[in-house]
Amino acid sequence: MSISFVLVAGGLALFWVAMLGLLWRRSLVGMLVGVLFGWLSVVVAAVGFSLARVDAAESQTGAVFVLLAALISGLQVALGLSIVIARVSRRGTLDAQDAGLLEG
Amino acid sequence: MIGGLAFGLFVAFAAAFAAVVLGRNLTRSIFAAVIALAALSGVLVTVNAGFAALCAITISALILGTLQLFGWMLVDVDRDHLPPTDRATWFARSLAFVLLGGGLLVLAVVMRGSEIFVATSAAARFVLDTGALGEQFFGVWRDLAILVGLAIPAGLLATLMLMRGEGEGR
Repeated sequence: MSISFVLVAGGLALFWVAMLGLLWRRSLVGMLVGVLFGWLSVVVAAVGFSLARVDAAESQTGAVFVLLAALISGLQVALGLSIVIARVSRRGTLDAQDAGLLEG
Repeated sequence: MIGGLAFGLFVAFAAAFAAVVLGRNLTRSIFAAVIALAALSGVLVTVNAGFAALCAITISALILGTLQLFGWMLVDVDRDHLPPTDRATWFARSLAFVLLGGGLLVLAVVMRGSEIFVATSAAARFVLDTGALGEQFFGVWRDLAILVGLAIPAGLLATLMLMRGEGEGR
């Protein structure tokens, strides 16, 4: 069993937890924690795949990919938090069950 | 080394699971998430992930801190006061998680010791060439595009914070 496989398998396990947080939790803040773990699972899997490649120059490209994913993740959480703040200030609840309609 | 890595990943997995399960209490959930982040940072440093690991951990810590800060501002951190999920929905979600977990497990078993892992790693070589992708889309303006991408949600967040009282009473 290689280090790369251990990391990718760990990434898959973390992805499952992230899905648990996204689909199980009804609290919008809890769902954002799930988004964070989903991104971290991608980072762990990307590092695993990067280690599976032998040439060092190409692994730097993998690092750029992780940075891009980090940027997108930060933007995702910022947007998600904006929506949560707007919803809580208007409705006074964090319940995602009532957020089926995206009315303002 | 593999044993240490597996242990670190298991600790991260357990702490992340606890963070999700303890989601009704925001403080405990964030605390478990920080433990998961610490375990993951140990794993990434051990495998010499370098600058990418530093950025990943730094941004994750910032995200957790932001969630904690706004959680304290917005909600009751001791309990989310949400009604329990009805039994049919609970059963459907449980079934979905079992199926998803089974699918991921089958994927890991198939990848182990097969050519699929090697092929995926080779294919990732083309997917990961983001420098060329940014050059293609934005040319010399690609660094500016990143800054604009950061500024848009920051502006949206600031605007929403300033307009917090607008919709009340409707």
